[in-house]
Amino acid sequence: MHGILFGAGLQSMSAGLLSHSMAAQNEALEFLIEAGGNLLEASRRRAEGRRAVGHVITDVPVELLHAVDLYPVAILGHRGPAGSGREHLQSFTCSYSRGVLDLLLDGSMSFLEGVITPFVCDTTRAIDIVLRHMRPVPYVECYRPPKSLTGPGSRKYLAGEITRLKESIEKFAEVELTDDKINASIRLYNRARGELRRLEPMREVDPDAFYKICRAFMVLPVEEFIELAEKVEPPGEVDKTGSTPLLLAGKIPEPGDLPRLLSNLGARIVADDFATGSRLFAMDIDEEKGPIEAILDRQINNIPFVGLLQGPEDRPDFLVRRIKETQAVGAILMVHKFCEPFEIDAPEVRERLKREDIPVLVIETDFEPETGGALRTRIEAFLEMIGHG
Amino acid sequence: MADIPKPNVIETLKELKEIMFTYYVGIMKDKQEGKKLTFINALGPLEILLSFESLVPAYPENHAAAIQARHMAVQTAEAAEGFGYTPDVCSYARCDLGSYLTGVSPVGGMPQPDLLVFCSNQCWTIMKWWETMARRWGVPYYIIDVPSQGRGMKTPMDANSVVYIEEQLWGLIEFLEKHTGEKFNRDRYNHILKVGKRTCGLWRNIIESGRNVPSPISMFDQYVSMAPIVGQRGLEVALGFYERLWDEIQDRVARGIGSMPDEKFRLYWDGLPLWHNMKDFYNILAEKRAVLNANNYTIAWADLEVDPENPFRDMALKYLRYYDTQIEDRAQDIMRYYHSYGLDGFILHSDHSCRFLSLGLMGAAQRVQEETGVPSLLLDTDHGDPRLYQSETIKTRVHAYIETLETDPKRGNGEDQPDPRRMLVLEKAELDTGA
Repeated sequence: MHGILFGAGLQSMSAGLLSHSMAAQNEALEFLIEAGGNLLEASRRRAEGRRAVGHVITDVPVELLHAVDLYPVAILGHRGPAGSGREHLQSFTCSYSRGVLDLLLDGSMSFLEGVITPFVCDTTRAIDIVLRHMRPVPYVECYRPPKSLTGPGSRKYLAGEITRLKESIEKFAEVELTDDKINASIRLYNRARGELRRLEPMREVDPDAFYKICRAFMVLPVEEFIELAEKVEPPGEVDKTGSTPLLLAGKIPEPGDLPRLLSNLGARIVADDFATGSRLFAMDIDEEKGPIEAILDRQINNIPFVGLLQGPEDRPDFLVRRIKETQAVGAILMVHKFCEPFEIDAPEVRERLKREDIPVLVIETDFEPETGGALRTRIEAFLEMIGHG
Repeated sequence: MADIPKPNVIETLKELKEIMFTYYVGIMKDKQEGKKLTFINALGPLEILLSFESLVPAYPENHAAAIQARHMAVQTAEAAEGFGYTPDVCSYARCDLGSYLTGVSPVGGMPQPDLLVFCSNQCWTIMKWWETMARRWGVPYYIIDVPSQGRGMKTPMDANSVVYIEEQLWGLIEFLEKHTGEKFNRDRYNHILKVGKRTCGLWRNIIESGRNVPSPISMFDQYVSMAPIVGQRGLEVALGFYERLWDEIQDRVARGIGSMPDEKFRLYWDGLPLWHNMKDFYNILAEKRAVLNANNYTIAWADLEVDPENPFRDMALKYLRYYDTQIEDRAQDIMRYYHSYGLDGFILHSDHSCRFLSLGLMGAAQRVQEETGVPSLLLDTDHGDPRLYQSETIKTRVHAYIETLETDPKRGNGEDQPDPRRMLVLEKAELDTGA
């Protein structure tokens, strides 16, 4: 047994999946959903007997941690009351970042021996600065991808940065990190990403379950995730009758009940660009190249992220392309409150979609358990406006 | 009625009206004559742009500050918010973008740019702001990426990052040559560097004159006088202005003239200015005879002084260092100011619009208090959005703070110590650890 069951019931089991008897009876699916809904407990239990290192989202190359037998755990914030994070980050910073500091400074993730923070905005940089000052864990490291992904010297710089990170991890773990070890980890993570791609149609049927599985991928040991995911069957032919195919764009699918709410209101999520969604699995790391070069390639060519500019495809172009490819009839741009890169991005992206005659709704979201009534009404009105089927 | 003294005016500052009028008229005229209008951020490598005669550099940040200082912030910010930018986006960005939407501007409006250049030794905000303009108008956009070291200012520079920045500076020259059709002129560049270096040196002297008692210059004077060092550094017009300003400052020191009449309190300011309410904030301080004689903001342009012998290496090192302040570094900086500027206290601007400068302030304030015993005042407001500036509330907080300082036996006991920033300027030898 995997030892994932926490308490009695499957409270997080989605109503949508219960209607699919095959999936509902899948124990592995239950485990994944439970883990994805109980991130802290899932990772705390698995950290026993392991050396766990946390990472802030997005884009930290976890394969490097795994390759030295460290257990990578994504730090995904929380929806609870504010903690110590607010003593270091003002109220005009995003709740995700303050939540990360809450978890680390208040001891909820005391099982971690280290934290790696990617510099993808001013606030993630500040998280690193606070962690270096407060030292809640022995090992504090950063990952600094280039802000212009295709600018002069960016490839060479990024190769150097990934190598620097590799050497830092080696030193911390006191384990030599060979190409063979990294390649083995890359193969495992590619398998896990492949499982997420295989299960991706589940997002149309039950997005709540699917995004929990994505979160489970980010907190479970990858071997365990693969073992569980392989047992899960994706939904068969998706019944598209009466549903409205949509693309969701944003950082994370929050508030917590939003995916299920959208589904209940008749939306069918056919694409996203979430850091905790499609960006996790859209692209593998090339197993044929040298590992540094291969990790680098994925960093540059993955789905665009708002904090890293000038990749091969601009974000509005990507969103338009995905909407057309997936035959979505509209898009919801989710702007995480106080996340300035998304806040600045949204108006021009909205205008671009409008020029393409794509209906678009911009909403402000936050880490909360439930979607507020006003926001629900706006979503309902939007879906009513564009609904078809 | 409160007794509020007027500041002792610095006569040279009266020249700025004409200098800035000519500057903005020049931008419009150059654009009309076909020069490439090139936007650049305030800490970017202006000297490279100025060495191309067929382009004219301009600063949306300066434009936004002018909008805010001329009380046009609400109108422009609301226009941007109406377009979809949330009120949590930097007010510089909102006011500038709102100016394009409304045409409201104290300088007749900034024309659309032909090129965009951003150096990331500042915030992510500007990088996204420029991207918005690039997308909207289809303008070529060049980014010089400065990776934050993440290890503090005193650790050796990361050779990979130094080489990366140098490569991008060469790339900038290629970018400008491609889009202007003009060959980079090294002689012109060298001349601009030399003029710029002298100008930065004068600016440093002017700022450091705040160590004198009374302080001949306040931060308000520095706000008013900083536009040329930002936008015309390297040109004779800026050099001449700061030479005359420095002469006058020296004269004021010799004659014991302070910016604040009957100066009683000497305070440090951390962060961006309150462009929209300079007079009101001055009055709040003046009522207590408090002068802001030290800050970490205006000195940034003195620190941009470039070594003409090895400019790209020098720029790379400075960009990396200044973009890597850790909490302890920041606290140590403030404590050095405390000692060398004879300070009584610290006002730290927790700026809703500036995550880059505001995050980490609370930890720094705590460290400063642990070391000096002097508390800081964390002032929650916004550098450019007057809707987040409540005059009476701010007055109450500032006056209460100053009153606590008044009774503090440790007040003003700082001994003279070396200059806070010069200690941070890299010697070239430091890079030889691996570059």
